[in-house]
Amino acid sequence: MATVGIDRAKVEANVLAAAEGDQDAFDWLVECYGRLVWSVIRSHGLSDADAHDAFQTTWLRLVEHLDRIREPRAVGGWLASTSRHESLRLLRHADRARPTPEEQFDQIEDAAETVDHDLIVAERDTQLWDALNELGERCRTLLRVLMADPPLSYEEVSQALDIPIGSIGPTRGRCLGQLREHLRTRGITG
Amino acid sequence: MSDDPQEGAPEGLSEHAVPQADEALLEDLRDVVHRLDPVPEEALLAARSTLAYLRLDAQLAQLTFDSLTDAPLVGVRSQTEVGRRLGFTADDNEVEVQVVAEGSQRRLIGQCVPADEVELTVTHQGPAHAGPSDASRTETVTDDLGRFVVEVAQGVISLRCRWPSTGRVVETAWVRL
Repeated sequence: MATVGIDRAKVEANVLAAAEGDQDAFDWLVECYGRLVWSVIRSHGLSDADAHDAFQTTWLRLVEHLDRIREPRAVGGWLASTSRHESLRLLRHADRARPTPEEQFDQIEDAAETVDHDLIVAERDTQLWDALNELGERCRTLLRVLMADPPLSYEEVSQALDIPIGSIGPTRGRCLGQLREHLRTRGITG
Repeated sequence: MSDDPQEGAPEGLSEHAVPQADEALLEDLRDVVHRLDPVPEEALLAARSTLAYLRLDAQLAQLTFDSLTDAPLVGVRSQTEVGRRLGFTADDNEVEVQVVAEGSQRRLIGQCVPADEVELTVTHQGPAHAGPSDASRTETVTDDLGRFVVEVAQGVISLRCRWPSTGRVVETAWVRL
């Protein structure tokens, strides 16, 4: 379950081993934090191709910095922060190539559309997903980072999103409040 | 402070104590996101394969200048004509590159500093969704002033410069072109 604490000594050991070229240790890190990185990227509304690129660059960045990560046990926060920066960089990049806001918006829609609609999911699931994607980017990113499994510490969340620790709780409350509003307009209680 | 803020109401954050309903909603969202937007398997494969690019003997040359983000806005227009300029630094060693786009091809015109005959390796990876196998290495030797011209396809690249006279080796941070 998501709230089971992560063994931070194990995280640290795997970062140090990966820095020595240990593929198993690195695979463990990808397994552990892949969802978090993907979530942060998706919360920025990147298209499929851009999301793949940002994902790849984030892990290349980790390999680049394996020998210089200051707090190996907090590598989750480092990855969340890096994936956020790589997403913003790609969005800026994309800005120059396809600058109209409409196209940008279409792209965001596309990212949400990539869901396999053939998949039979409960009505409420789809509604929750849509409601989440209706939130502003700040809320979307915060919530997706907060639902990371294994969970990040508030310190890591703060570093990753560049927001004060003290504002995480209240912002989280506000974002979930907005989400409930979106759900209520759909006739669903969250 | 607790390392695990989601476990009940952590000490020191009690004023932000999370109502159980919020916790339950977040839990539902987590399930939905995992079901509807899982990490694509090919993205995970590509991620695992990046460890192959671990530096063994080289120093990291950080990106210290990128005209795409660092140049004043007036330079934007000329960028397509002159090309994007990148600067990487590792102590006294520098790698300067001008990137000229020609369709999906990128011509790299650059110099490894200090100026000398330098062994250059360009590592290139194509678009990530093409899969991890789409990677290539180009090896060449610069002129005696460290200058080079290399063509690569669009993608993400890292340059490795080795100065035979001093044995110094640097590898640049990855940059997407």
